[in-house]
Amino acid sequence: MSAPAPKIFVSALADTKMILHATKNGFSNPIHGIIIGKKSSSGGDNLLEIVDAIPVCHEVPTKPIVDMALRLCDAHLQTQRSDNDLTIIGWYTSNASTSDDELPNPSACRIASSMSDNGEEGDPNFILVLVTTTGIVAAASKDSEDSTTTSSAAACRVFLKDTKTKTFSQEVDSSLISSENVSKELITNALSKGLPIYDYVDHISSYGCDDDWKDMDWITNDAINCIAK
Amino acid sequence: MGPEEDLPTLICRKDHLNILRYVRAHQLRDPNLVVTSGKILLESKSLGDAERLASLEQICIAACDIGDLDLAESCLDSIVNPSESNNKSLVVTKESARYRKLLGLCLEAAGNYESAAKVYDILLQDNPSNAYAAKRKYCILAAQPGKETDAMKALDEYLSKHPGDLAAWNQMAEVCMSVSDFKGAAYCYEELVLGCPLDSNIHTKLGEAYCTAGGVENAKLARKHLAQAVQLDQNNLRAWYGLVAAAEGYLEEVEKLSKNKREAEDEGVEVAKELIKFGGEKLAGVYQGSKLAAVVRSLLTETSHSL
Repeated sequence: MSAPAPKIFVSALADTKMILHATKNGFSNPIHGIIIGKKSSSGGDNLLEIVDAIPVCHEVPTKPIVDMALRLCDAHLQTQRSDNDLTIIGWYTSNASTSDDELPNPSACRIASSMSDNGEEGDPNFILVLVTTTGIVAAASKDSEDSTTTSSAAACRVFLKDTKTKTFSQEVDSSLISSENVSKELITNALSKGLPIYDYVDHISSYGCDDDWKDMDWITNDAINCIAK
Repeated sequence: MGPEEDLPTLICRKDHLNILRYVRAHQLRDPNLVVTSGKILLESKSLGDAERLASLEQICIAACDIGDLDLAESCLDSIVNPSESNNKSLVVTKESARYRKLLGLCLEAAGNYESAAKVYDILLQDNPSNAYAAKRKYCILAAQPGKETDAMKALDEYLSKHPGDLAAWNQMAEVCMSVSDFKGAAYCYEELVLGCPLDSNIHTKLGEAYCTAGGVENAKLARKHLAQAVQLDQNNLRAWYGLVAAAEGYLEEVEKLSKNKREAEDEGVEVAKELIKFGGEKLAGVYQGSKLAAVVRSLLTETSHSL
């Protein structure tokens, strides 16, 4: 008997960062990044809280890129460990073609597979998040909120590892995914202000040729953290 | 255009004609600027024919880029409209190959791939070595999800006829990467390296592709190309990170070998360890005094512990 699917909560901050990353770089490029969050369980339900998103690249990721980004991210989380218990709980991606919202691209599935295999039993609740074009358009549209919904649907679809096929094809039902009420506001705010968002590849590619290199804080992306408060 | 006429100056001065010329000359991709300046320029109606046609072509392409298909269509119509030209000898007809290239592009932008493909087929019939038309046929396939294998075949065919087209090899490498064919991508990057042996970024990409492909021999090649990359450009931070990752990857691969084979790699292992230390020192130096210093330091201590 397989375990019940976890409930997933997406913070406004993570939603905004993923969407900004996709809109800035996603035109004919895939985007990839790390999901940081917390796991908890209450009353037999597993709850995964997506707290933050750390952008990694806007091209097909290679082993050196993924390895180094994960290790730097891990090291960063360890320096913050005393404040909270955030860990790497997933990987997010958006496909290269804006009309391709079907399934996550194979390189993202590969990365999620190997990340979820770490440790003795692996992590059965490791999530692969797909940021879809329709989701971004819905989140950024100027339509007024439907006042009957208490929590708006997130701009992304979530996949878990199917225990039989070992591939990330088991989609979490959208009714189990919820996001913060302020998500839409934060997203439209960030997009209209044209806030910068940096990923790991931006950071390593600009050294020596860009004066702003030191400000490219791809791990924290403080510009967005500031307006989220 | 004098040396003092850079793009911000021209924009301040609202010199739309020279803005368009600048973008054309420097081969920049800034469709919003071209469309904004272009619209104003076209209304002035004081352009000579050659300049008018060149601008219309440029604005048409920019309009396709940002999805303003109405503007693109009106540019197309203006180009072949004989009443708008001042000089009767410079009339463009719909048979013109240059016009048909633009027409194909607009059809592609509108998503009308069948008609676009027909336009390019006719261009290829007239001139079988028309590289532009062949490339656009590949692009039509690449734009449609689900047609990846057809696209790869088309690009493969193109490359067998035009093996010196480095941009196409680059595109093929990216396509291989997207279907996780890292050995294939490495092959394409090798072709690029032949064409540009002193380009640090290409050696970096080649090294990364070999590293991702896996296996001892590939790991060794990865190490070598990333070392070449940092030698060609000391500021290539991506190559430095890649060098440390590739050297570590090589050590991991050697660990998996049988005892006899491992001994044959002894020298390689020594080189790899030195490269990791060398890379680590450079990275520590780069981040000194910056916000990420602590994070990078802990990454490097972890690396040196495993040596």
